[in-house]
Amino acid sequence: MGWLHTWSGLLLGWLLFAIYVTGTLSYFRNEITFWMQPELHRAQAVPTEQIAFVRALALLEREASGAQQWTLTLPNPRNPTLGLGWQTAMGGDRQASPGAARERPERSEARGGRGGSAPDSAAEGRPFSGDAARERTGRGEARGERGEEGARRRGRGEEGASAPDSAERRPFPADAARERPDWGEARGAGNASAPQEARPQGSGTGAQAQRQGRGGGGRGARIVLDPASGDKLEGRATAGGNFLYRFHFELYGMDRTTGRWIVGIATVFMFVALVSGVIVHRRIFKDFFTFRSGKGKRSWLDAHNASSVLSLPFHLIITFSGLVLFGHMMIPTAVQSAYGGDNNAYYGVMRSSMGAAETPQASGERAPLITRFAPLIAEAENTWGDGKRVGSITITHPGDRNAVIELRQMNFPGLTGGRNVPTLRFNGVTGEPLGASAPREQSAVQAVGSVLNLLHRGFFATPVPRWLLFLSGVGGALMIASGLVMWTIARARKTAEAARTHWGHRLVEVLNIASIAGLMAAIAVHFWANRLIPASLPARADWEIYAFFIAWAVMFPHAALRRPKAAWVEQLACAGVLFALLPLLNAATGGLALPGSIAGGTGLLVGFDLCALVSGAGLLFAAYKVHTHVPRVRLAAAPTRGEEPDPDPGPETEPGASLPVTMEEAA
Amino acid sequence: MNILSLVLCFWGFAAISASMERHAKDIFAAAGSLRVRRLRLVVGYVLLALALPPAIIAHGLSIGIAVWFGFLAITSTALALILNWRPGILRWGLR
Repeated sequence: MGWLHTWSGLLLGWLLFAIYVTGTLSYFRNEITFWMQPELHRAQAVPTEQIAFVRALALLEREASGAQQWTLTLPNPRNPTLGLGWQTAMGGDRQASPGAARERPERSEARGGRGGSAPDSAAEGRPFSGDAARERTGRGEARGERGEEGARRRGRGEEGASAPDSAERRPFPADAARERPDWGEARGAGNASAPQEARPQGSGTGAQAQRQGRGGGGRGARIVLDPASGDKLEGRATAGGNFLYRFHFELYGMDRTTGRWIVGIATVFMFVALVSGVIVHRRIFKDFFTFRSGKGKRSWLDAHNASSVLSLPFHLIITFSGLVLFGHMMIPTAVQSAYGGDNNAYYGVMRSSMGAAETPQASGERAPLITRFAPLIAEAENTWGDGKRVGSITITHPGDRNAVIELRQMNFPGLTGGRNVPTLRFNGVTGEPLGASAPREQSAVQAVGSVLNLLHRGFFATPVPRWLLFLSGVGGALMIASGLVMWTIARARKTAEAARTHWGHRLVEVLNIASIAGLMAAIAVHFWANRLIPASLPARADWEIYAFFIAWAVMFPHAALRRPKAAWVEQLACAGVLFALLPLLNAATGGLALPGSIAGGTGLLVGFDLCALVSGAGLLFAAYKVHTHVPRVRLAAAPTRGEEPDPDPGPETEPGASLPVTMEEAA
Repeated sequence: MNILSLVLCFWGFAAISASMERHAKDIFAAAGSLRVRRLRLVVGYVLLALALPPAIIAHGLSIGIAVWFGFLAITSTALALILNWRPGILRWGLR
């Protein structure tokens, strides 16, 4: 069984490390996105009574008067801004059959892709090809991807910035045709212009026409406001934390389905490695607390065991639920037989909705919408009690006599109810309460699916669980990294005795260095690029991502050309310096600096900067340990024994100790 | 409630570790009698179990259980590190 563990872990271990690190960072993707838009940093979350609802509504009235639905995302611990979003009416066919209208992922991808590319091409005066999505699968890989990127970027508002997780939409009768937010599809994206982008009305309409042409789906957009003043905030274009998020389950630069299959297969390997690891670990209880430092291979084994065993529930759940999330793709038979291959129907059932009250149809008569939301919010928070807060406000048919105001709770009440959170509805004109949503009964299967889904994705998570998930993820990254390093250490003696290093050994060594230390450095470069690339540069969001890949790509030849120890030290130090300097970069490039964010209570910025410092320190410590390491085995080039780098949100690219040229290029 | 749960988890694990011969030697210099160590083991598990209700009170049933697992993970990791570097500091809490 040992061989199974070794090889299932090694073969895709490098990829798994990247998935774990980027996935772990995704727990803070809203925070990362926010950090990556320093223009928004000075927004101050204010108590609900002080939110500039009147100005926000006036703005919506101006920009989105014809919209079928407005959504206001209230400031929350993960984003202090006030987000405005809107949706115009759906295509008729969808409204007719809301049940069947749920988007399936393939669909929503296509839309995300196109939605994104539409404004792009409009902006560049290129003819918009209505077929971008098909092209992507066929020949137009590049273009389709580009569109998706665009979508992601623009979707950021919807997804990243806006949503406290709980504010993700639930299907809602008139609303069922919205794309599934499940995959964090840039749903808004598809429909949205970037929050920061005041897209000219004309191109917006063009894009809308395109979208309507391909079968309905509302147009929407997002705007970000300073909650206290109601001023519009224009953040720079960036993929934000969504790049890392999407990378962790569909990689980049390839067809989505392909990416997901690769990640899915890697996940299977991970699961095999976990289970076989438990089996081969014979002293799981005896060595439960055992960690002996400074003992070479022994220490590596201890570190590997400890990082695996102590967070084992997390590792098992995250891996298994990852598989379940891919389940319908990798094992389509269930959907085939139960739903005739209709993914829509499957999702409809799995997601289940609240037994929501019917939203009345628009009457066609105009009537002024209530603008004083504070009493409604107070009433909702009183009704819920227990410190529950309102996360978002959705107004259906604004300006109509039948307008409905729906308040959604900010946090999830539990893990079994899917994404449904309690809501309270009011008449939008009279303010008369229309009652609360009642959660619908769920089957056991739905409940289990919901638990796995939510645990994996942390939608429910308030700060404490979120940090726990994050720390467990860090533990998982350490587990994989230590496992990879152990492969070379376990074979070090043999290699040392051989006249020449076997090429396979050398290959593993190089891949270890570049995909562990190198990845950390590349992530740092990504954050640096975010600040160093001019905010006005066209396609700047793409360049942030290219910077990441260029930096990462450079790490491989570097690791191959340098001796292993030097390569470890240099790459770790490079990553460490880049991360550690991020708070300074943040201060220097218009972000709210650490003292300010501490004083102002902007916890998410404090968290980011401190994480960057801690990761930087951890990486530098690792570099130092490797540097001062005297191999126990007589071996010129025993790789490292420092602790593994902490995958933390961090910053980026300063000319690092080792790779000035690279870094500058990347930036 | 979170803190209470964390503290209970930590000392639960500390007691369990002190029930193991190797760690007990690190902490107290001597392993102690088998009876004492058994007692520590039982106390340790009880403390871990007691850490669950506060987590549930703070987060609700389903999330509370998940949080409890998270607390178990981070406290046991912290303990493993402490046992490696400064096992002596656990002495005051373990009688």
